[in-house]
Amino acid sequence: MSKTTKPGAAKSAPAKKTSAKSAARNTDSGPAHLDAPGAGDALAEKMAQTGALAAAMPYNANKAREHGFANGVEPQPGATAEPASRVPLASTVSEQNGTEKTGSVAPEGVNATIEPLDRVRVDSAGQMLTTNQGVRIADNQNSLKFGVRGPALLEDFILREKITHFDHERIPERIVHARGSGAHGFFECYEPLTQYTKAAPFKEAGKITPVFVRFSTVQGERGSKDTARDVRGFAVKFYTDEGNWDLVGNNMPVFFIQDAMKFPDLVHAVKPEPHHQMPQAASAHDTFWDFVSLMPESTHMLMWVMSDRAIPRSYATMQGFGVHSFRLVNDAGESVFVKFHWTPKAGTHSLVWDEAVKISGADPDYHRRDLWERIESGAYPEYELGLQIFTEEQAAQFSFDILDATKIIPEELVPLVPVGRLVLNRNPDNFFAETEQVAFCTAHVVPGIDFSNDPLLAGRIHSYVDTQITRLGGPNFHEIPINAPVAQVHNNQRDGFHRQAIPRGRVAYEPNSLAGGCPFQAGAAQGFVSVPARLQATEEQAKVRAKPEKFADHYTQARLFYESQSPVEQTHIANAFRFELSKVTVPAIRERTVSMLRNASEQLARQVAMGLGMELPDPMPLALAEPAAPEVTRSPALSLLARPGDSPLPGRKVALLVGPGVEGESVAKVQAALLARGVVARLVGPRIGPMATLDGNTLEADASLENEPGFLFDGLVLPDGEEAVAALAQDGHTLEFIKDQFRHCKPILAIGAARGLLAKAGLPASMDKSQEQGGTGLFMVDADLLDEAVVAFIDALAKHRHFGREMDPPLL
Amino acid sequence: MLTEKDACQLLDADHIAVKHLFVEYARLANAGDPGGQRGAIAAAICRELTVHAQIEEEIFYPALRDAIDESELLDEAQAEHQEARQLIAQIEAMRKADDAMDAIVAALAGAIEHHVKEERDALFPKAKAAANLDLDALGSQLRERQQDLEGAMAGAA
Repeated sequence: MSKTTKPGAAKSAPAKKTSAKSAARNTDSGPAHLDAPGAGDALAEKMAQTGALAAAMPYNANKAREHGFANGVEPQPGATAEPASRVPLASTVSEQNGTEKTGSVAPEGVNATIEPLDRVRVDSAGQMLTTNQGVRIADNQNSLKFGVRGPALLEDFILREKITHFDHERIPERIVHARGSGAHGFFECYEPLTQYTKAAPFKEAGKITPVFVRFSTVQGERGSKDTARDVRGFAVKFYTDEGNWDLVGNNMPVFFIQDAMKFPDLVHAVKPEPHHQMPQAASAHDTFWDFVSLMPESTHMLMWVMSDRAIPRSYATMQGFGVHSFRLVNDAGESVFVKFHWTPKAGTHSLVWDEAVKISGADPDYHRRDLWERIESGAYPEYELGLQIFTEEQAAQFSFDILDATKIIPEELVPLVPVGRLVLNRNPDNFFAETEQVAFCTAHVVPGIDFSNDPLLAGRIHSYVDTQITRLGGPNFHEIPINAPVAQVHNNQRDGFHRQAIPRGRVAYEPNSLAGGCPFQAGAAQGFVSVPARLQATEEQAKVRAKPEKFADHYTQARLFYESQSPVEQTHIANAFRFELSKVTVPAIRERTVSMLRNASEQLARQVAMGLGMELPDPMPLALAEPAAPEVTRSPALSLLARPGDSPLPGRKVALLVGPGVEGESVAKVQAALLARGVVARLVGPRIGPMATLDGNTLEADASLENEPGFLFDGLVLPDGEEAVAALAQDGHTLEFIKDQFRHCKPILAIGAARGLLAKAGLPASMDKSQEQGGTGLFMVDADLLDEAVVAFIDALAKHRHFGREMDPPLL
Repeated sequence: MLTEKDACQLLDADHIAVKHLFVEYARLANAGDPGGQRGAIAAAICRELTVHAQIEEEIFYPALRDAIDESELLDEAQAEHQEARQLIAQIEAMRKADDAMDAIVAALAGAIEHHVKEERDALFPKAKAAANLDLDALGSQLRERQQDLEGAMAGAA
């Protein structure tokens, strides 16, 4: 090649600068060489630095490592180049010009949208009313009219803004788990769990991770009753310093189905029937029982749902479970399987069915109110996280398949290891902004947590994200404040409805050189790497739609659950089946269900059949003729009685019935003793307001027999005072109040003259032998023995219920 | 509730009292029984049921057989007593309260629950409706025999 003149070489330095300056003022086309530093000119400088930054990456250094299995499980961090300054990364050099609105230049390397929620909290103290645009509103009482009696005017932008916003206040409710209540809190790690997992919350003893928890029912709509017989959602969002981890669990460790393919079928069957949209918040109807009785794998879950676990006393008194098998992964990339269990510190306590039905009328917000009031009053709900950790080799030996969501791992087989505690100590400021807009997704995992091949989980990983897109109006729901992580968020996701973040710069792709390669892929050391689980193919397998063989054992664990219940709990299960199936209108569906139950428990099937006035049908044919022998045939941990609780009293409510002429001193004494133990002791009168006491003082009743019926309370105290007792005795509510307290097996303390109220309410003569024997939870004392009686009453309250007096049908 | 109980009320008082014992037993068994009390409760259950079955068989059932035409129901009730007696014998033969005892006490509770339900649902209403049956007199008879048997048991213990 002949010698040529180097382009630009002949030009003088000032000329170079001038041309660089000119070139830099265009947003398209450019010179072939950038050899003028462009000092003194911002645009020319930016052009020069951009050129240098791009030149620092002459090729994609990562490309060769994208191939092959070994590289796949050990990805390297993406290549980066250091820019000479922040200038080449800017969207615009005009970012220097700030105003009150624009602020200044974006803080370096930061996504400021993840700042604590204070950034979006609004407090209007001392403020004037404005429009959405911040325009102060002079008159919020009248629309703009042409004359006081004239027509309203279209130009009234204030009225139109107000009405238009109002018209669009609703968003679609969740397809399932629409009815829910949430709270903030924290998770505290007991000891480092780094042997098993590198997940951020488990890194060191005492480490605190913020959480938001949402409890819910499944079937009912957003405004439906809390105390329906249903599974409860127990969803925990951990805002870890390595991203959000959602443990989207339930208060039962198993599920109705084994494969997400059946999820829409299940939900269509249980939801209100499509022709007449009934029943609300209930599974006691034809389509549900039709479906589940054709799906025998649901038998185990049906046992749980028919047990008292489906009607918890409080969200604070139920367990939570991750349901599926997950994986824990440590720094070395080694993985073990895990099941997650939340155990309530207040113990596992439930309602009884008659009570749940009545509560749903008097206080459909019963659980929501209970959660709110516990947190407001400092009786913070607390749960211990326990893990069942097991290896793939162990799992292979089990009589059941750990990928089957209708199976538990008995605690006797793999014991729980306590690893930390969850405390809920802050109510949301705003239900919609927080509890309604929170978006839980099983897909949200962090390094150290991974999935198993559970086919139900696989479908959930897809479904939760998908459903939020419609519910929350687009793909940017992660930017809604309650959903934003506390970890830095940097990616090339762009645009979409309701985008909040303003990304600086022009690069929205990777690899790039124009942003120095940033944000770059983290690599295996810091980023999420899926466990390279092997497919255990004992025979030749290919694409297939089928279940593993052990999934066909539909009854062994249903039997285990039933056999592990206390006799009272077993009776409640039978009664629940009786109730639900009695609501079914098609006898053949009842028969099919009972035929299924015969495979789990002959005793249960017989009881249910008897309660339904039907003959015992033949047992349903088995899908698996000879299931493997179970390792465990009785698991006491499955009974609610296994967890009486470390602190069963705080958050409970006791009614003290007061009327005019009540003996005030004992009321004060009992109330103080209860309050000292964290029990809310409420004065309930024939009406609210002041009640004159026997000693000439007054007590203030803050609830009435009419507005707070008896079944809303955990215990009842009937104070002394002839006149008050006479006043209460003539009010029919009082007798219902006592009757419900008795029927629901709650403790009752009757003092002095008030003992007569018990007889008037119809306390059966046949209770006398039990009374002598003790342990009935019924205390009838003279005022001089009150001190001891209060101690005994509180002790009885801590025992939750006194089922010795429960008969079917009820005594009272 | 302090009035003299008739035969049905007296027998039902036994039912409720023994149910309390079953419930307390289950509560202790499931919560680990730190005080080691459930063996004594099991013994009390066995005593109660033994006396209860005996007075029913000696006094109540024969009276019913004469008064109402329900021999099938009564035969069944008697068979259930036999089943309960076998379980009671197993419990009494056990030296300590353990998982095995828990299982048998639970089975006994289930059997008694069923038996009680049948008596309350089917037998008692028939007894109450029978014109020629004096439940008050029967109640006194039952109480007297019950006290004798309880005394004898306390003496033997």
